[in-house]
Amino acid sequence: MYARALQAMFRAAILAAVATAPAPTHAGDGAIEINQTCAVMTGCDDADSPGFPVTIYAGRHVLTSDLATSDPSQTAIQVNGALVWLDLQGFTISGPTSCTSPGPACSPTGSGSGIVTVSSGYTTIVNGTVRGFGSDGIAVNNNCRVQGVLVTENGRHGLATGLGCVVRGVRAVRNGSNGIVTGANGVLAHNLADGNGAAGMRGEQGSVFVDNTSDGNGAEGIGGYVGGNVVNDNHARGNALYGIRASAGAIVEGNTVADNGALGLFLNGQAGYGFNVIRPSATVPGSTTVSAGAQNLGDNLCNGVTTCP
Amino acid sequence: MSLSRVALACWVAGLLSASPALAADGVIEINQARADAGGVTPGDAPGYPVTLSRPGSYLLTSSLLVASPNLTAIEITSDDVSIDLNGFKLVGPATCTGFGASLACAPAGSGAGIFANARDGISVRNGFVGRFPSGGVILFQVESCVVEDVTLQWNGRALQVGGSCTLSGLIVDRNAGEGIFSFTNDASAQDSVIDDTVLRESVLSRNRGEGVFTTSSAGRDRFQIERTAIYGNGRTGADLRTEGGLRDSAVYGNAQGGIRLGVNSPDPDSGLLRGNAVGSNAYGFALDPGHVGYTHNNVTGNTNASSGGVQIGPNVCGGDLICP
Repeated sequence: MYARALQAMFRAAILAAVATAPAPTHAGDGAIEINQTCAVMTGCDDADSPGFPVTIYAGRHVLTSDLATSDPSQTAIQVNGALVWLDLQGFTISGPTSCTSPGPACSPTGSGSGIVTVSSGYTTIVNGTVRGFGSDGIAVNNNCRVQGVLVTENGRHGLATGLGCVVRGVRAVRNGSNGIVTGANGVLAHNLADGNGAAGMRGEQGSVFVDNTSDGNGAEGIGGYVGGNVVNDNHARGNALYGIRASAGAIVEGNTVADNGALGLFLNGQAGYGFNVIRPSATVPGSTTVSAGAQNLGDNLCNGVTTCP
Repeated sequence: MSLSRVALACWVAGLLSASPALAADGVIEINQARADAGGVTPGDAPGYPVTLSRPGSYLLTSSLLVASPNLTAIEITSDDVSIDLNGFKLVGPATCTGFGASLACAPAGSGAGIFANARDGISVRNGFVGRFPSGGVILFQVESCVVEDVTLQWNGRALQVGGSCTLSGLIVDRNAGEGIFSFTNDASAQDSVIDDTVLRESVLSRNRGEGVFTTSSAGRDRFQIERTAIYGNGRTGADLRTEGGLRDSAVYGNAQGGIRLGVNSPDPDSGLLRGNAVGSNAYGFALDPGHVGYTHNNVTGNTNASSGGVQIGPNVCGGDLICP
């Protein structure tokens, strides 16, 4: 009698659990899993319908497989809530677009992105690859953190962020427009931008660019716009336009700038520069060192001499 | 099944639920269910706070939601505790409106996200701590701490540390007190003779108080800021009343000024400002007149003139290489 009652209670508890929690699937550590199967077949998060985009809300999410879409106008993951932490766990989110150098020329293009946030911000994305989307690889709102991600061969920007983001260890390679473009007051450190169609990296007022490498991009290697940027200890080489561009109020120090198509340093008259090594291209007409009128703080080497520009 | 066997099963189940949940690698798990049940470490009562009374490595396996403004989510009462938030959140009940000086939050209360008092060797990584009325991560007089890749939003004071800490990858936005508050008590048992704390590659923004405020009981400790963006705070961007410096950082649009170093400090403080962009603040910098040097900064577009310090190399100040 007693045992039968326990069995009934046990059965009821199991049934209740099954009835109330068919999805999402939680990883062993409590995170919500995203994989190709749930993306296509069942939906991955609460209120996420089968098919792309996978729509996620608050919380920690982890990829447990690669995700692939075939439509250049299809977004793979859409973040609808604030405070999302998305760990790609080394997997790749891919679309159908490919880009070939020089240019690069990307095809097909469209309106789809790998990851898009439409929330109020505070999203973190780490550890994986976003490749081949018709528009941006990753487009993320304010106060984001993006670390350890490769964004490559996307039709527009590799990574586009709002203001106040920390971007570290991102590699943006061969995207159709800018490699990395951020809003104001961001920190970009230890990133690589190579062979993108426009700038390697761009940021607005009060942005900090440190210890980045930006090579072979279609516009400037690193561009600090609007004002008050820090552009220190970077390398910019072989970019089609400027090595480094900076606005009034900027400080540009400790950079190595070589073989760019126009000025090595294109600086506003109220930007300061020092401790830079600037070498124009020997083969590109119009390739020079530093724009006239910028504030020379000393200790620069311009085309082999210490007089700049 | 006999009644005695059922009783045995229940007793075993009870034992299991009272012992710490150990991951395969010996890490102790913390989640909402375990917070409710208690027993995460010896002395941990059911509910909040989750008390960590033993050294070790702790891993969040769910977010923790605290409904009361007067409760703390995690209280550390041991040295040598490492908490990996694992991408999860510690969330309190406060909400805020506005930015910087106009930021207003409610309800008030005494709850914090993580609290420790006078401990050594505390690490907090990888997650979000927000909406706690008293503070986000309060490591009061904690020495030798690491806080990295943590987002702090809508708390009272966002982050407090003692000395000799490494802080990096932080996003500290829209908190009602200071973004980061560092206080070292040189008379405490935990205190090193000279403390050095470094903040790197972080964003401190739109807090109602200072972006960073440091002080110590004797003024001999040091706080270094590198590669960081400090903007839109309601008071001074960085007010260092200790030894210290800023390097390769952007300090922009702070309501009461950009950088103060060694002003109103218990004793003369030395420091160095190098390679910073300081603009659109009430003033660029106010420095100890005899012991703080500055070189290779751009201090342009601030409302009022900078003061103090010793110019030890060229700077850009509103287009003039001589400052102030």
